[in-house]
Amino acid sequence: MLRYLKFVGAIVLISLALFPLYWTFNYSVLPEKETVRYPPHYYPPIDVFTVVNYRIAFTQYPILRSLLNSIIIVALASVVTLFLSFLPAYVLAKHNFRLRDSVYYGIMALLAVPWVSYTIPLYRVANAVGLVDTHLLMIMLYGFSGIPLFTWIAIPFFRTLPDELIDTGRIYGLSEFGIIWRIAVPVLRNALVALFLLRFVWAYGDLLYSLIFTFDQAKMILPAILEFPGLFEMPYARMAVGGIVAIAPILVLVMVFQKYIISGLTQGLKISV
Amino acid sequence: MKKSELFFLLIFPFLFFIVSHLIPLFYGVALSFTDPKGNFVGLQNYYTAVNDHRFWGGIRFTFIYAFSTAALNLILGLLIGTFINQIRRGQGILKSVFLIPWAIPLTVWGLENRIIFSRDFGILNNVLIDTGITTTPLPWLGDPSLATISVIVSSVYRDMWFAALLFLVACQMIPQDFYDLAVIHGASALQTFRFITLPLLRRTIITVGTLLFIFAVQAFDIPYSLTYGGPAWATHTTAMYIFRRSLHYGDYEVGTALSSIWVLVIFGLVGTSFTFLGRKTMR
Repeated sequence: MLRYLKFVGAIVLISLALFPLYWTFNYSVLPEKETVRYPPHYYPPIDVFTVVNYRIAFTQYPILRSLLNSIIIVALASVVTLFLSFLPAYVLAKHNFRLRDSVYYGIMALLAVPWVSYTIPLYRVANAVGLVDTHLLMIMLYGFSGIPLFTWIAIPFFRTLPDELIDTGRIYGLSEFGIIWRIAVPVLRNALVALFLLRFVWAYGDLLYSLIFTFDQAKMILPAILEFPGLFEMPYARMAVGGIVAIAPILVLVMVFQKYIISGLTQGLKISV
Repeated sequence: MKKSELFFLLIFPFLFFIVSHLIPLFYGVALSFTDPKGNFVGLQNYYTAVNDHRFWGGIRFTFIYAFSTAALNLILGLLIGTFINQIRRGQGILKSVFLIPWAIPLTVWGLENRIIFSRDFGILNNVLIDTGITTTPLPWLGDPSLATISVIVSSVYRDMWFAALLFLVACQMIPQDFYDLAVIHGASALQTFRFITLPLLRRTIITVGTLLFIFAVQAFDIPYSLTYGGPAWATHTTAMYIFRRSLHYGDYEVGTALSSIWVLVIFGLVGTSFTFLGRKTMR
């Protein structure tokens, strides 16, 4: 009896968690006029099933370009973030110096600064130097904005690095940078993949910067799909297509590398008992 | 160990953040004391900001949103996480499934929830009417208090799986011996949860709760894509209001005054909670 209840509970939870994704897919393959009916279609009936919304989205909106913009910008920016946060994380995890705790708390304070407070002056500066709506600006913004968070997240991974390895490196005459590059990076390869994925998912999902700083050439996918609902019309099917397109790359990434992501989250956020 | 090299490895990367974010932040503070032509105007922008009732409305909504989402995510995440921990087989599938809502960008989540919450065509009203809970369709996104609830529900619906996943992982770190002992001493399931699971998860609860709250206070994406702050400014978060007043309507100087006040409010809050929780818990 108890086993049966647990099984039912698990099925209910799975259905609830998957429902919004299913519902989005359901609407994306319905003709627009079939989305404004009551009661709604619980599944797309065969006789009205259509992929015309996908064709409309890809031909009448520059959605493919936005998708590629997002992927390129976020991938390069994630590499930049990882490189720039690995160096300080190593120093903070493996070396003792007088101001270490102060630096650590300084980083935590930076994590609390509301992102919106950077945007107004950043916009003024970017506008003045003519960088608004460029890929370069977005790579820099997403590359540099993650430094405090990813330094903080990377510290526990560096703590797992055996001191003996570092000492061996010193005996062989490696510089501190050499120790990071030749020893820490290969040993912490899995952590590196995990942190890259976390940075990718979070930057890809950010709306604030992408909405403010991109509108045409470098337009990213989230501001692009937000343009589907108009002021006076609610094209549900097209909105659903936008959602599916924006979710697709990230979903593939997360499903393929889920082990890395779970371990990255657990260790990086210091989940322990 | 060469001091200068370590200093370089620590400071050099942070220079990028300082130049790209911290200096603009202080530039923003400087802007808040000027008018659009760049003349020094003293505290005039702050005077405008403090008297802006929509700004305070935004702060009020932000805190309602942050406290309720953090609390609900913690409670539901804890319940789901400990429940899944009881299931012997199929935990792998559940973990993958729980990652899916986390992978969906908040903006997409909000946009797609518009379809679910739609008054005339949405499945939510459809289910509520079919089960007899309501007789008339409710305007989930069209009424100020219902829209507040919708934004909170939408956000919790996405994030509770993530909280559950973290609690599940934490539960699995609890040694099985503790539970075996509890069985030997004849503890009930509820007692086991109350006296073993809950105290051992204390650190995780504090960490997850703090993270959820810090992220929730910054909320922008879900209200923006689900309600666009409406109806009648009821679901504006502070971040959204600052964004609209400054970058949308071009009122940059007042916007920087608003965001300076907002930074001070957040720092006051975070500072107090740190002293309250004790510094050690966050390490």
